[in-house]
Formats: sequence, C-alpha cells, structure tokens
Amino acid sequence: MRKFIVAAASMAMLLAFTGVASAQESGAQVSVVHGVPGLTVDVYVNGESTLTNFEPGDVAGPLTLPAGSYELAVTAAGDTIDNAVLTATADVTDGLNASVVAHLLEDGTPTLTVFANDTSSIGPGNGRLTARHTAAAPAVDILLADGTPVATNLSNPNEAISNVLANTYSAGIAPAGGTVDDFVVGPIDLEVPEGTNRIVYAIGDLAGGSFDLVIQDVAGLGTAPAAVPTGSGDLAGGGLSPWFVALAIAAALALGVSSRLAFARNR
Amino acid sequence: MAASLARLRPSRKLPSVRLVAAVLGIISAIALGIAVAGLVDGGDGGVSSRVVEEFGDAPVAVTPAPASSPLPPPQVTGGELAAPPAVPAPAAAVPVRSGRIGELSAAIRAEPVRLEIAGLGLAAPVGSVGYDARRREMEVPRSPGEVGWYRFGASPGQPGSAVLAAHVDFNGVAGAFYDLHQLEAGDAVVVLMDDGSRQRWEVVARRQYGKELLPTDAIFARDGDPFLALITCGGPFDGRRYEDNVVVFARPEGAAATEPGPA
Repeated sequence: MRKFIVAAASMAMLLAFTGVASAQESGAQVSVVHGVPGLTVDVYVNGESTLTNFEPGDVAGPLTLPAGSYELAVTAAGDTIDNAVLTATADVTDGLNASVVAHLLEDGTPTLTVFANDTSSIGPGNGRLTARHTAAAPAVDILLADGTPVATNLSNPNEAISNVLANTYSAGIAPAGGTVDDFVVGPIDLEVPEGTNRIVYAIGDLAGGSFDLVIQDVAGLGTAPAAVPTGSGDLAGGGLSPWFVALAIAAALALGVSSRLAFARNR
Repeated sequence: MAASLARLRPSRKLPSVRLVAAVLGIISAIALGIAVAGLVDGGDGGVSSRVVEEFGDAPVAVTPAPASSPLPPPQVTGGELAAPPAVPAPAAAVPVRSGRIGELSAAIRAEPVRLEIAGLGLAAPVGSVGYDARRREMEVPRSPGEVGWYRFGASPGQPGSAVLAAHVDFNGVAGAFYDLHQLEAGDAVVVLMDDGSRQRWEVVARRQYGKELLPTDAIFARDGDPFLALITCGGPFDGRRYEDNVVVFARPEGAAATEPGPA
C-alpha cells in the first residue's frame, strides 16, 4: 500500500485518446477497469465523483462521454481528490470506444493505461479475442491446450487481438517461449462469444499471488450470414423453370444437327 | 436420330444442306444464349430484382451498424496540455460489475426444441445451427425433416429476430418447410422451448426474395421487438439452387394485433 501511494504520487499523465471517428457516432464509449490488487478506490472525472468503492477486478461502464478533454483522478476509497494516487488527462473523440485501465506495470508500479477497443464488425460465426497484459509479470505466450499459439511474447502494457470461430477454448499462459508444460495460469476454459470482442485482462502480481483474469465484453459487432441454403431442388414447387428446360433441349438438338450437317458436308 | 441424320446426308445438294446447317446453327446459338442467360440471371426477366411482397409488413434493419474501422492504439504523450474545455462530468449512474473470470456467468437462455404449425400439419424438431464459414451461408440441418435455429441470433422471444430455417426439399424428400409458402396472416405458430415453455406466435407477413435481395440485416436483426423469421427456399430452380428465399415473419400472439407488424 505504501509502495502504491509513493509510486503513484509522482505520476501525472496526459493520455491522448485518438481514434478514427465514425461520422454517425457522437461521443465516446469509455469503460474503466480496476486491475490494481488490494486497493478499493474512488474515481473522479473532471473533479466529480463518478465511481465510488470501486473494487479490484471491477469493470465500470461504458460511459458515454461527449468528445472533449477529461481530468481523471483515482483516490483511495473515501479519500479526497487532493490525495489522488493516479491522475491523467484524457482527450476523447467521437466514435471512440476505449478502456481506461488502472493496473500494475511489469515491475509492480501502478499506472493508468488507455486502450482503444476494436469495434470493427466481425464476420458471421466469429468472435474477437483481445488479450491485454496488464499484470506485474514478464512477457508471456498464450497457448491453446494443444499448443497452438494465440499470442506470443506479449508484454505489459500491450495487447494481442485475433478473430476466431466463436467457441469455448481451453487456453493457458506460459512464460514467453514456453510450452503447455510451462503454464503458470490455466489451462482454463474461455468462451469467445459470436459477434463480441471479448477482452481479457491479466491483472495483479503473478509472483505475489494476486494474479487474476478480468473480462470486458464489447458486444453487438456481429454480422448476418449472406445466404440461407434450404433446398436441393429436386422436388419442390418451382422445379426447373420450363422455359429453361425447353431452351436447353432445343439448343442441344440444334447444335447437334447443325454440326452433323456441317461435318457431312466436309466429307 | 442417327438414322434420320443419315437420310439428310445426300450431300450432292450442297447449297440446301449448307442453308439448313446455317439456320440450325443460328437457332442453336440463340437458344443457347437464352438458356445461358437464364442460368445467369434466373431466366425470369432478372430475378435478382425480385421481391414478392405477398402480404404484411416485413421488418427493416433497425440499426445499420456501420462497420467502423479499427481504431489505432491510443497514444500516451507527455506534451503540453491545452486548457481542458468545460465538459460536464457524466451523470453518476455508471454500471459496475465484477469482471473477474471466476464470476463470469454465461447468459443462460431457453432454446427452441420443437416447432408446430397446425395449419400445415407440421411438427418438427428444432436443432441449433451456426454458420458455414466455407460456403459463407447459414448452416441448415442435414436432415430435411429438422428445423435449424440460428444460435448466433436471438432465441425466440428475445429482442430481435429468431431465425428458423428448414429445407423445402432435399434429395427427393419433402423438407419440413415444404408448405411454408402456404402460411397466411394470422396463422398460428407454436415454438416449444427447452425450459418447457410454449410460445404462441402469429404470422404477420410473407415475402419471396431473390437470393441476392435477401435483407439479411433485418432478417438476422439482433435487437428490436421480438419476431420469428421462418425461412426456406422457393422460386424456380436454376439447376444448382433455388433462385428465391421464402420468408414468413411472425410476432408474439397478441403483439401482432396491436402493431402493424414488424416495423
């Protein structure tokens, strides 16, 4: 706790959210994720208390914020804003979907990181898995239980994004370069829902026993199938269109006769 | 045929044979051209522009859901900060939940297991189907007597469209939706769910769409008022597939009476 406050007191950051604004969306969608273990906090936006008694592992939002610049401050729960342990200024643009994450850096220093969430549409039958390394831990590989890599050499505070068939996957976390035999977390069953960007945060301190995984979903990104194949055509109603059948027969006959005649002439 | 051709073979009268050959050649070319055109666009005066509004109001896509391009990663800079504009802080009611993976509860929803349409004498099992990524189509049950429910959309009664598709025919066997095109406004449709509940629906609209015109965003809508979309194939068969989809829309019984149909 002492370490947290000492480390954080010197931090003041400008977080510039940038994004490709979608013309139709006004304002930004902003979520807040608490990934610092052992500290319940309050969150202030522009000096106003916005989240109180925000627990580690909690996900808040999304808030719809008009485009603009925001002062964020994080205090220990019940403390005054003057004693903020983390502060940041965030510029948000229209159409942005972002997550503000309070978390530990690899060396255990608390920080705030802003990630833009990928809200591009996802093909039918697929989901999106976003893995964010926001834990006090070295670089890792994320592997399926059969050894297939999902992300390699993922380090704090970075992310890996992949679109995959919507399904439940058995996956684990190994030190970078490791194998399934080196899993330090898992394997666990992880569902990737269709049409959803499922964001998985590694939080806490791996060595200190406070490690956990936190899930945030950005849903509604799915797209519809383009076609519905519901007949083999050998029985129902329309059948082969009669004109098509008649013309095809006429064509075959006429071609056959004319080529025979031409052939005969050349003999 | 060979015999009759042999009789045509007296090749001393070259001009007339040549004439016959030419005429037949022209006819064959025209016929082939029309037949090929028929294969391409359905041979029905351009099937790709066909929507047959048989009755009722079909749903339209509620949210166009523009595909926004992926955002670049945010930049953290240490540059000078312009004076922040006076943007009001958001209202206090922010939803908060634990995101810890151990507390993640999969949304449990009832799923359809059986479809009954008394007016058609239909009682068919319903199975869950997904998406065929290779063929880029909704999956449809292999068994012609089974109805497929698109599990990536709404379950019947949830907001949006619950899509139930079945074959009109398959390998010479009539499919579960062989008679779907006979449904009329007000006909009752019953869906049995796996929690034992029994949902009563009422037909409000029927459409026949050229396959290229199938309004998939509306038919697979994931929000808005609940409706059923019952889908099968219809129209002429072009040798490879049907040219149309027949879609019957239903609203919860009672809802249909107070609303003009799916908006």
